[in-house]
Amino acid sequence: MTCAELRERIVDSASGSQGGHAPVVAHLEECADCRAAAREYGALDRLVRPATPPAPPPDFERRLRQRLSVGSRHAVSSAWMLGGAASVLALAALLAPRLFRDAPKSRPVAPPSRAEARPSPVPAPSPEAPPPDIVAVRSTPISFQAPPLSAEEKAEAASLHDFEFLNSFQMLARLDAFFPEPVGPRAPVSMPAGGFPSRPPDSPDATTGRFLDWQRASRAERARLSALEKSFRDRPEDERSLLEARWALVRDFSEDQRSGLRRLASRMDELDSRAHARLESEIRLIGHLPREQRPARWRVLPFAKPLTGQELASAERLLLSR
Amino acid sequence: MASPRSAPQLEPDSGDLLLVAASDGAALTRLVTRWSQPVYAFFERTREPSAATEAALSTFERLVSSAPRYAPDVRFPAFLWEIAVKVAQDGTSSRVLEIPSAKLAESAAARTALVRSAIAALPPAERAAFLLTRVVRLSTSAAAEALGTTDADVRRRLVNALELLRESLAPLLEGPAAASAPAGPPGGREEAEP
Repeated sequence: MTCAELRERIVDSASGSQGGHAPVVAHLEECADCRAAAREYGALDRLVRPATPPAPPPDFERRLRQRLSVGSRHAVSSAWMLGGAASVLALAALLAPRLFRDAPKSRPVAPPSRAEARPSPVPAPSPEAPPPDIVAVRSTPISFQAPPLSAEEKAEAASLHDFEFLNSFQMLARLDAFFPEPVGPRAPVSMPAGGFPSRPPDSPDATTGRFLDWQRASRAERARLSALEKSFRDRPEDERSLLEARWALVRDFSEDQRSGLRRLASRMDELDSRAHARLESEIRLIGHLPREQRPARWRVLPFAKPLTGQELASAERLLLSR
Repeated sequence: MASPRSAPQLEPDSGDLLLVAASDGAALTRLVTRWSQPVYAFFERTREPSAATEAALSTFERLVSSAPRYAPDVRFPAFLWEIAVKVAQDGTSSRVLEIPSAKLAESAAARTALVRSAIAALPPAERAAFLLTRVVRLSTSAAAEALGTTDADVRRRLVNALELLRESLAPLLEGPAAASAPAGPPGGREEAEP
């Protein structure tokens, strides 16, 4: 067995077992290079796997539907959609006996279960509704009744950072102790290759999405977000980078967890300066402990005792993300 | 009553994709519910979360636009991952970040950034095989089906990918940061089916 053959077998356990393990073991006993490779392949597997399964943002489906509806407003796409739907209806007709065999006759396709269902602009078909192809064609269009944006409004919308980031950066600054470096003079944060995720939209799709969001925002909401943007831009550059780097850690938190962090920051604000400083020191010490020890040490802090489960869990996730 | 053996049951995902092609909103919700997480995870290992979200959205957008061409004798996962691989290849190639070892030792974000840049810098064929088998956790056969190639070719690409990553991620494999890396069992062959 050559080194190349050995390595192709150890990367795939299904093939690795074919022909028995004896030749693999014999080769590994003789070949130090392949032993090192086998060790490091395993280490790489652990390395590339995130600590927690990454999840798309909660508004993923809404954004997808927004993009699909924008696309479907173009004449070419619409024509294509009609043609496509017709071809699929023909295909579905051929497959109908298989597709709908086990479904009740009045409802060929079940709507999503309560657990599966997400907020959607498309209502689920009712039992009395026509077959799903007709339901869908009727339910898909989304109307945009807001007036189009002026050039100035578009420029303003496109200049703003991620709205969720703008709503959160002040909270991120207040939770200083939960992050490795404090806000203030420090070594510059290295910018990720594609820029920080909180950056203003820089692709056609993202800009289109931003314009749609801005169109729907009330005058007061636009003013609030613009004021937040100004407040963020008024901070020193290194502080801005630090907050954007922190957002990269927090943006995948669920809405509940982010609410927990906001309440946690508020509770910390309520402490007097001495208690606040002591708590920050304790949290920083916890941050230096091995990961598996951090949750238990966090929960025994006097400050943590009266916290809600959501606040505790949000803080724990933050401590574990360091 | 029809016997299950007389005509194989259409898989739920395949049936839903046909309904999506006919603009059924509920079917789209079901597909997004079942598949958005693995698709997002596929991209999240090579780019920042916002860019990963964009790529996952593009994948679903292309899935919907490709639905009229979908033939149900093709397994849905292979159809979906073929699209995701194409979206991944549309991205510009990048280089491996150079991050000081002190920063790697102290910052999980820096380690994540290095891992992402190293995977993103792999040649497209190697990157696709690596992501499908090691991140999405497809079997070699399922990855080969999605990539339109053979099992042996997937294994060859995988070895190439791992050898390149041994080099580019050496600071994490050798340094103190290695101890802080995310833990988990090596290998693993279970197929990603939501």
